[in-house]
Amino acid sequence: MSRQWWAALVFVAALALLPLGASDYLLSALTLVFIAALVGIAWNLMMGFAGQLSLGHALYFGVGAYTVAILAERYGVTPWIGMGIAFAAGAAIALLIGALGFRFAVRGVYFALLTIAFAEFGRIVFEHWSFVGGTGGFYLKALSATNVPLISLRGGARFNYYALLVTLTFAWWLSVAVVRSAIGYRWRAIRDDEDAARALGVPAFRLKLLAVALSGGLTAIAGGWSGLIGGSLFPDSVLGMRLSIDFIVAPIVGGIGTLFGPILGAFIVVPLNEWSRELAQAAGINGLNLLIYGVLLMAVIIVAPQGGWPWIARRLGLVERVPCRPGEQARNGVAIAASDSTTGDTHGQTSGRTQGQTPSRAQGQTSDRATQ
Amino acid sequence: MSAILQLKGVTRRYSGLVAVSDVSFDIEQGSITALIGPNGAGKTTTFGMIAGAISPSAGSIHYEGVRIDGVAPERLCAMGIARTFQIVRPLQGMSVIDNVMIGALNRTSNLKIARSNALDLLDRVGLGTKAFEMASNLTLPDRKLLETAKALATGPKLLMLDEVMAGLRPAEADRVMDVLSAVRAEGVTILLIEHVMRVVMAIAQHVIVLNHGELIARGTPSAIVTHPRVIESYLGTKAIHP
Ligand SMILES: Nc1ncnc2c1ncn2[C@@H]1O[C@H](COP(=O)(O)OP(=O)(O)OP(=O)(O)O)[C@@H](O)[C@H]1O
Ligand SMILES: [Mg+2]
Repeated sequence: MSRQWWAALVFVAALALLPLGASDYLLSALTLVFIAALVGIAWNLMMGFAGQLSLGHALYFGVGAYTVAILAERYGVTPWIGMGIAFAAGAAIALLIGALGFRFAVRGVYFALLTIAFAEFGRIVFEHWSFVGGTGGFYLKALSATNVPLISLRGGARFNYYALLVTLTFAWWLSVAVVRSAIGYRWRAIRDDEDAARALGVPAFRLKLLAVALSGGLTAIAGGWSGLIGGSLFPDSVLGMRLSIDFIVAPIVGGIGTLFGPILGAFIVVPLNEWSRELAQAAGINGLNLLIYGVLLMAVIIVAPQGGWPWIARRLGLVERVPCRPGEQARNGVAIAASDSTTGDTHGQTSGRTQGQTPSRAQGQTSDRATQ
Repeated sequence: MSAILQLKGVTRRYSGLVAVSDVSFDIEQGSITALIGPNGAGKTTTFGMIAGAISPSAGSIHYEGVRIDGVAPERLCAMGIARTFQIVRPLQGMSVIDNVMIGALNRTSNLKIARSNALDLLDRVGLGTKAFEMASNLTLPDRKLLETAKALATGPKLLMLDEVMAGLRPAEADRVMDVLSAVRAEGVTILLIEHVMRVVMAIAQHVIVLNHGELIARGTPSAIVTHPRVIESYLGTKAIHP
């Protein structure tokens, strides 16, 4: 096992043991972190690896939340099945939007606009749809005394914590597996230059659809959990534009196009968001939390333009060594983490900016390696 | 020998401009053909149409007997047509070897095999020592070599190279020519756009000359250099502006 796998294992094990000594409040807060990380991973698959910017991920999240909640509440469908249906619903909607956009070669910001339009359309539909409660919202019944969490998938803080930890770990593993497969390589090629990738035989249309479907499906599952935990759903809170923006801040702060970045970002952004919201309330200053958000983003852009994780990973020595042929150790000694999708990659959108910086970054990495 | 590629009356219009006008030619299986002509003659546009990046305004293109105009570039690549871009297009966020692996994945979905194919190819074109650098760090001549390696990695039957030797040092160009001769010996058909007449004379069996979008001459290299219209429109001007 590589150093990275060990680090991942230690990280997950530490989180698994944490409830032994943590308060319910902390566990609930961390559960929110996990949900944000889950969506961040999903969004990042699409943006950071396949290069397709979505600013409407609240749509998948909201559809997943309503799907699981309504199936359970109205039709008595266990969320075990509900989650599967939510995944399928999220993936199907993402496929629809993707197919429409990609078929007509809607690229870049125009594609992002399309995702906003669909998400807002979805929110308005839900607001006017009495079946789902309209603006009045949809509520899950309070838990009965005979509730079995493993059947209803609803429980206390500790249950929710573990449920999300398991889901997150699975999603993370899935993202690592996909990104490191041929699919991940080809996604990054599409991200960097779609036409050049197609000239090299990359079936861009199909692979982009795969990325959006996987992303939409995983996001819907996060939404499903969020609904089960919160117990009440409102179009504005699970489908709103603000949520779509919140979702992307964590992976940006953690590092777009990195495998751990969305998780790190969620650990930074969610607590900061909670804290600043409380601060804003206490101080009676509306929008203070947004200001803090803005300052954080600027700080990240200045200190670690590729996000927090590449910055930290280099210092932890978790930058993957590039595999080489036997007898070429010398080459490996100076190799930079070029092919390491876990840490180093930047996405197409910033390549113009990072291009000029890459040499110094590369040197930084090389000398880091030398001092290890 | 049979034709692997046939263009019939191929035309590409841009608003108010005919970039390629009624061009017809065959490319023989296993040959090296050079496409030459002055700047703006329509060479790159012709490539783009064969590779599926641009669709012709008129005419037809057949590859291995199948009509391919309008077919998507990734499908053509899977069918064995590879092309390089005159304005190089490295995948900037990836390492040199990963760039070539993307090409190699056209033939295999096994990453290990793709990786070792890519390393072999990088060694062949002389980029082996830079395999693990970021593609964005390469100099322009190295990016040209990378273009060639990427296209070769797809395992083409028809390899189309757009000025891949422009800007290379003579030793580097010789190396690429050796690679191309070797590739051709393996049965690959090569169509190349080239301004360096030394290269054309050395490796091409056939030459096609375009001028203002029209095919004005075709023949062996030695016949082409003495062709009056070619001298007048292309080689003559080159003599004035070397
Ligand atoms: N997308 C486009 N839109 C409009 N005009 C174009 C476009 N692409 C090419 N052209 C024009 O078509 C003509 C042929 O261009 P092309 O790039 O095929 O020439 P070329 O023979 O490859 O030249 P060079 O030797 O300079 O590479 C030129 O006049 C060019 O300006
Ligand atoms: Mg050209």
